[in-house]
Amino acid sequence: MMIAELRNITKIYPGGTVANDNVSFNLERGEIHALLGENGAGKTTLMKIMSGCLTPDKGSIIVDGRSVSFKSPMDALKHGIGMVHQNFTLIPTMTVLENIKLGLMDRKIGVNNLVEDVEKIFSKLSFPKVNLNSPTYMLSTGEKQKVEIARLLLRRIKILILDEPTSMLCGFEVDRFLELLSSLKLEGCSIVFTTHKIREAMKVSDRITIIRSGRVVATLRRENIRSEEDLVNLMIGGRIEMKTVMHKTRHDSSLLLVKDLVVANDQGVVKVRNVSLELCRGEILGIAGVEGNGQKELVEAIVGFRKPISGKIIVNGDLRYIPSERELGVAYSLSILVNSIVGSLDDKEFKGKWGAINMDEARKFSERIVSFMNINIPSINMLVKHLSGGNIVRLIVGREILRAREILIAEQPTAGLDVRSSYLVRKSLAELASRGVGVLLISSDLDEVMELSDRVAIIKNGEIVKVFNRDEMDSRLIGEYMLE
Amino acid sequence: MLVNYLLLTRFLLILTVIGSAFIIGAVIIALCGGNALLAFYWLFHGAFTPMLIPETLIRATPLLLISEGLVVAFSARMWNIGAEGQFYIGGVSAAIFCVVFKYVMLPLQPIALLFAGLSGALWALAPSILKVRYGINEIITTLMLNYIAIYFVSYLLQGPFRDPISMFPETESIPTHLQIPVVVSGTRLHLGVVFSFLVIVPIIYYFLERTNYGLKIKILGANPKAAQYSKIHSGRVMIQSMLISGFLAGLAGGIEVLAVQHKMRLELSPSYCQYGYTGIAIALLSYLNPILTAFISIFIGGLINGSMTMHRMASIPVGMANIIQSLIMVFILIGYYVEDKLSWRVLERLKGK
Repeated sequence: MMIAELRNITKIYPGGTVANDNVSFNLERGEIHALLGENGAGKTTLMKIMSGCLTPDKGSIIVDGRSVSFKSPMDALKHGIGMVHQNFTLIPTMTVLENIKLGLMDRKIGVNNLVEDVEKIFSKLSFPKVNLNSPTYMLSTGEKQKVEIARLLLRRIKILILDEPTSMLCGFEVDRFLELLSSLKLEGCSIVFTTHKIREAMKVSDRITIIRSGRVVATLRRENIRSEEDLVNLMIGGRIEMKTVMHKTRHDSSLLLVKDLVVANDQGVVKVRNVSLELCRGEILGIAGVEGNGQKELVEAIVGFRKPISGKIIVNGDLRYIPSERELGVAYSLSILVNSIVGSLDDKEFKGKWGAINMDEARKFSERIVSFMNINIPSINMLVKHLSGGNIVRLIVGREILRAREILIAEQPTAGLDVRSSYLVRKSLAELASRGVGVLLISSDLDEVMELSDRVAIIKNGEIVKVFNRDEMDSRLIGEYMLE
Repeated sequence: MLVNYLLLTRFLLILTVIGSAFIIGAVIIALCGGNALLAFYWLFHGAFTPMLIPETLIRATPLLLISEGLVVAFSARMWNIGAEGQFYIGGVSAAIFCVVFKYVMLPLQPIALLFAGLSGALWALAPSILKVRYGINEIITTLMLNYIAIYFVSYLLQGPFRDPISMFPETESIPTHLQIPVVVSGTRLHLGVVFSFLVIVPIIYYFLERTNYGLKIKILGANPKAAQYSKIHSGRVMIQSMLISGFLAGLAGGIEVLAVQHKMRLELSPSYCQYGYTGIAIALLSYLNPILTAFISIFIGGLINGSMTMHRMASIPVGMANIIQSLIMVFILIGYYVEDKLSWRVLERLKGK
């Protein structure tokens, strides 16, 4: 029995990116359905269409057998469909209760009544005692997520959509979260969640839909899936054979030295504890860990965005940086040409007479990035805000790879890229290393880290718990260290 | 090709903004019982008859200098609302300089103007430091400093620098050898006009569009995070962009005193001009483009002069031109929104081809 159905959905973004191409998807009453796909496959777009955040260019939405059209998330909520976004929508300075009330603005609920209801739901979600009057920025990611879910449950929604719910959670939180999904299912909720992690999809879902470059590849029942391998192949369409470019590490000269580093986040919580690292010429040093274990703060300290509490960072050479937060790396209202030399403004190559920019060189370099990363655009004078998300990533990653001379900090370098571009980036990183560049690779994609790195340092709770050399690497073992 | 399309959209949009303001202005005139066509005839007559064009350019010059400076500051997202005060400070500094050195028989105008510019910059220094160091909103501080500047100038003109033989609070007249000379005899068109349009405009254009430093300003304005990412000293750039803006506003005041008024008066920026505030509208209407700024300054300068002709010949109050100017401001904001929508359309159209 279908509770909701999306038929032949097509969505093209203004930049021309085809996010969904004739996609059909259905959800059965009372099931947990995983929407599995790589970053940028079109999962989020599809879910945003289902929850009324986006309107499809073509296709129809059917809820309870009737065709509906959503003009806003409010419309979807009226039909019992609610979505928890990857980036939470809570207002950090407002309290838990205020945020919940905000989600119920259109319903008149007395405060006494509300507090009771909220507590009931929290206990149902086995939510540890949280002060309803504490501002939400003080909550952990897992707690914030539960507040978002509770807010939707208070509206008695029938269909719960969760976008990448586990991406911000750490090891044990993920397991608890998956248990939570099962208990919500028992309550009668129909659940869709998107993920790029096969293991999670396999663990709790009744059915799995695999989506790749905007198209649905298959919808499978859990019991019909023989191995995780099959899913991998469906997800990425037969892995492109990757020959690792062998490169010699010269341990004689260190480019980057981090010693006993302690760094706190904005709230003053210590996120990096006594980390020591050394990056040598021609080496790729991978940092693996569940997101939120201090990688972000470590990188921010190294590139100089964040003042460490104590410890030393010695940078011996020109440092280039691919930020995972892509908006750091571009100025949206300026052209691709200008953005090509962001970060290189003071390089001799781009300087002319009288403080001028050497426009010819800048143009040449910009065109090099465009052809190197196969960015399909009419002109380099186009503004970056008119580019698709994928092309913005290509621009940043391409620029940094082409400019890297000594040190490259590559943070999630392939996130948001299609398989082909990802391969190109990985190959280029290996080539950079063989030319003597030291690469610090931070990626949540464990396969990528293992494929490329000469050494992998496992970071957990802000500490480097183990460093593996290439010959000792084993994904099971690394996984254990990450989650342990 | 693509860029041409986008520029064309922008150009049409500016025309639409101005046109819409005039249409609504016409409705208001009609509602007040006036003849809108007649009013606009005299408005444009007063602005752009060949004989009156020098006057329009003279009116446009302080507007131009101020708005060029604001283009620089706004590009760095420093919202300098204090050009009016910086203009007054520049004007009074130039006048004081000339009064002090009136017996030195040398062409000291460049130094007087430099002094005026530096004073204007100095007036902009405190708000920019407060902004960079402590995050104090520069919009408020620069705006408030306008009042302080004007009352301070008023004190100087009533007190220490008042011309003893004048009936009005103003400095004594600047001797001829310190005035900025007229370049076209029979008009008041002075060297400062030529200098502003033919030297300052290209310099600011080159500075913002072609130099390393100008690019830093633009990156900072577009995305402060990206500025940090590209190792730009944001604080320094912010302060310097504000100083440039203050310098040009001060310079405008100096030129106005040495070339037009020949003394410092309290009405250096009359209520129907308010150069410092009108400059904000011009900078925004030109989408922070230094070349476009020149054209729009002339247009607004003409509007101001024309409104007085309109008043004299069609008995429409001068305030009407102010209403039109304010309407232009409102439509600019709408225009920004429309442009964003339109540029997407244009892109899609091009992709379809």
